[in-house]
Amino acid sequence: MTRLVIVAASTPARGLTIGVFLAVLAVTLGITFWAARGIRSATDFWSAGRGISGAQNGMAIAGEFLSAAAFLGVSGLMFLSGFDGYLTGISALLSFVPLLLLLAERMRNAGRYTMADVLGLRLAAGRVRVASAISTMCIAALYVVAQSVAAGSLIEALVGIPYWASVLITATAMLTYVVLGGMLATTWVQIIKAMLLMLGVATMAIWVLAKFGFDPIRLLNRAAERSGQGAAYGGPGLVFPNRVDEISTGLAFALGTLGLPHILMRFLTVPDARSARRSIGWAVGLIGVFYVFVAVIGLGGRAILGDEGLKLGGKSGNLLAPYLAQHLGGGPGSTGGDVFFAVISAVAFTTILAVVAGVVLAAAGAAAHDVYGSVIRKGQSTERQEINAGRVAVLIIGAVGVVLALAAGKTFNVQLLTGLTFSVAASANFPPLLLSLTWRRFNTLGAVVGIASGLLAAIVLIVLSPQVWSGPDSAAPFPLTNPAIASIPIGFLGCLIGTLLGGREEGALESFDEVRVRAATGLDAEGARPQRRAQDAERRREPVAAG
Amino acid sequence: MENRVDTARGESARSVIRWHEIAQSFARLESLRRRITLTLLGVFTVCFGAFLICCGYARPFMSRSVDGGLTVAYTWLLALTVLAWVLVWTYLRLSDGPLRRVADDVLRLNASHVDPDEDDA
Repeated sequence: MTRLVIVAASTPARGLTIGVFLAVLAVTLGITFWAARGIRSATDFWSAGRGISGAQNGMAIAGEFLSAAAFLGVSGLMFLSGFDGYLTGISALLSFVPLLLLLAERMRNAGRYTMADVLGLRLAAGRVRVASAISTMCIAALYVVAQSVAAGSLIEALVGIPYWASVLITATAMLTYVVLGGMLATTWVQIIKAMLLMLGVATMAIWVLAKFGFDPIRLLNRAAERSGQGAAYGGPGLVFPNRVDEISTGLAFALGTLGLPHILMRFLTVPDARSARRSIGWAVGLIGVFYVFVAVIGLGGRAILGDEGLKLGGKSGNLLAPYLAQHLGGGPGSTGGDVFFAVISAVAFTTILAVVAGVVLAAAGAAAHDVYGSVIRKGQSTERQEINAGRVAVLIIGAVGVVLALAAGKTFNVQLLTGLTFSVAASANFPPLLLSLTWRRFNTLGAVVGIASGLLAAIVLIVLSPQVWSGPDSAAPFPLTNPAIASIPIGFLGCLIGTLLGGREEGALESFDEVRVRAATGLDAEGARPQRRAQDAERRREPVAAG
Repeated sequence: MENRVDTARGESARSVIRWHEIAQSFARLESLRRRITLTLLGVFTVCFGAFLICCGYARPFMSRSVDGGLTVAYTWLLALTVLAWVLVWTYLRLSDGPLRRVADDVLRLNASHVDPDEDDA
């Protein structure tokens, strides 16, 4: 697995890099202050007033999804190990297919601000909200620590700012986006980041392909030749020697997206189910193209730089992309090389800044809306109180994330935490969410046991895995680095056992019809457009227009 | 018969909609949606599942060259990327076409089960 850590690197264009980075920071903070002026209700803060279009939301989803690990980590892994480096990328891309088919529209039609709203629609709201909030906050904590460690390490390596200061800078920017601008600012920051990232990787990939006469076969041939690993470079096994581990990691990334709270929350920002579907169309288009470009960059690094890339990119290959950019631009000391290095480094920084904002907002939503608003105040809090509680929660979660990131240190394995995040999401959140929308008999105990068993299974198995186990790898009680292949079935099994033990729950059975109709048609969803559509159609006796 | 159903138990009711009556006329929409979803999910599961299993247990096959450095594994990766686009595009088309028409029919038939006074809750 890759380590987003990091050799000390010379930074020939340090001033230029910082300049570009500050410009991006100024633009995103400007947007945040603009967004802050428009926040008047809880819906504005948590769901951007449900005024985000499908295309905008799709770009924001791509922005949420394409982290530093996706850009620098995958290109570095492909440089080092060829095909296997792409496994997490293709699995993550494909995860949007089941997300679209199973959850996206249903989330939009049945949800309000958080994932727990969907569960609470037909189950005993208090208990499932608390269980869901705990799971969401665990995922957020892992994600924030992973990305903060990545941020600190990368900024230190590329610009020379100390690790602790880098972590504080990124955390401060992220907290400003979320506390002041809520979902609207977070959305626009993600959109800007996605556009910059796409522009950066597209430029690099086209430049690489141009070096090989736009013939991808020549690029692949050259990369395989210079890898020194022959045919194995183009096939599986170099990153994941354990066969089951390869399958488990693929499963974690393919199903983890369906339980990531910040991705699910994005479907609540659009006006209707049609926009939610279109969001996925845009996201899949952008993310698919992005990963193809990243593959070209990784393979291009091997083909162009050869073993020199090992020295420049570090043991993990994570710094390959900026140094490949420098080489493409004319090499160290040249104007073109320095400018391209600075631009790609700044794009990487922006990637890091934005990626944690969404997940922190999701965790704050769970704390403020699900726990404070619905459980502690029993729905009696005002919207202003809920927004303020959310802002306090953001500050607490951010502070905890910074402390943990500083305690973990820059040598902590970032990819391990990212993989665990996906495993926890796939094991704890996905099973109860899916079953609450599709299984009539599903009940409150099933949801609570499912969340608890999936969460515990993922965390315990990762602690027992070779990545964390203190002894030799072969002595680890659980042999896989990613537990998804075991923990996802445990999550479903927990739901099943809890439901059987919980017996018949009248409220859950009765409200299943509501969930079924609401999820499929959008009737009575927040904004109630489909409802008005139905009445209009009844009056006109003609097919209704787009909602 | 009118069912008053709270939108989230423990929270205040937002609407008066006879969900049970609407659900009765819902079978055609559900059946069509299920058919579409299961077909697309089936294609996804077979293609991606076979890919993962081959990555784990058919490594020499996956490393076999199709054209120089282009191996079976890379070719399959590209095919899966295209498959993701095709499946998503297909579902978007079907959702905006047949599924939407049937959903609108259900809503129109059941407009009498929705109390207009409670609109835009």
